[in-house]
Amino acid sequence: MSDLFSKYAHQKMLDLYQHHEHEVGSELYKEDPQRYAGYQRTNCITYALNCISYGFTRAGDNRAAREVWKNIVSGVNVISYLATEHNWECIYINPDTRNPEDGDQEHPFSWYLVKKYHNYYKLPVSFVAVDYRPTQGEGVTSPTPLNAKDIALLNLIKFGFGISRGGVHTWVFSAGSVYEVHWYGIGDDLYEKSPLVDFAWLSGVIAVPPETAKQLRAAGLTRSFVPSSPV
Amino acid sequence: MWRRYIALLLVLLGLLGCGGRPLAKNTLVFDYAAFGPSALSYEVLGNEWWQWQPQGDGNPDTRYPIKVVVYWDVPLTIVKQSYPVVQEEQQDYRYLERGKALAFLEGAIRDAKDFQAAQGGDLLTLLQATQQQIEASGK
Repeated sequence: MSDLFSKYAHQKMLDLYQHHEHEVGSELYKEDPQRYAGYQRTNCITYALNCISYGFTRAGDNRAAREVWKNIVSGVNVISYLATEHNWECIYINPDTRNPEDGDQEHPFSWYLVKKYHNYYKLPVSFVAVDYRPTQGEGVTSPTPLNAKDIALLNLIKFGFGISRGGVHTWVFSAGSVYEVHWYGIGDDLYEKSPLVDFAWLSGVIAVPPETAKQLRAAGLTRSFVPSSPV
Repeated sequence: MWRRYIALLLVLLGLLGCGGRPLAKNTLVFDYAAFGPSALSYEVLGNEWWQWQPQGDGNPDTRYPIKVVVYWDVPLTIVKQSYPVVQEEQQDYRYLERGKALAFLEGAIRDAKDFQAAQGGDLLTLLQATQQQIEASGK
């Protein structure tokens, strides 16, 4: 089920990324509804839900395909639904847990909470991939050692759903790349693909289906905590 | 019974009329950031983007000028009337009763002490300043 889901969610992710002549960013639409009357509105969470619901539909779970849309209120709600009802698991990401590139305490503090409570905005965190792009520069007195191992393992992910800053921004993820929609865009400015290692949003989580989590566990992705008994 | 209603009405009129600014003696208004990073404060304040949207802007540099109203000795309905959420004017308030604000800050400061011991920074100072400001009010 999970493999089928990932195959089709990934297919939809690429299809929309490559063919979106019929779409317009939802905020751009609001500025001139008449001009964009023939377009379908989209934004970052709509893109993700289009992919996820399509994956569920093609994998034969029509109920989940409907239910996931009920959580459009926020990315945290979407992941909470996927984790609770479909056993998805979260990977916490943070390119530099000590010296955030933007200087915002959100990033080191969310890491502190992951280490202490094993959750991110109350979402349970199973894995961590951190310190894959240590911040450089004059202001950095104590550079964070590079951890290249965990980020490389994220290439195993065929489809994942990501959130940053507790859901301020949502995106989808595949094989090391972030795919996102910009709601003020249209045409070439609507969708963007970038390597996670360069992603400007810094910390967040990627939620993955259970089969993917199993692969990541087998591959040795660092766990958020080491359970006392084998899982 | 009617005397009680009249007394309540007089109290409310007094609150609304004080000092030129509505509820000035029963509220403090803070920036969202005064309660620390969103990862810490979202449970009591809600998300750090506009409450009328399911997500924020795709630009990581965008910040939302959300305000937090800490209130005491006045009903929340009256506070909301004085500090209304108005989407058209991008006016977003979160409301936090004084006791809840202080309880949150007590726990947050405990975490911030641990965090700052390992990480450094000024989070502890920020939270303590907010706490002191609230403690000095409403006595």
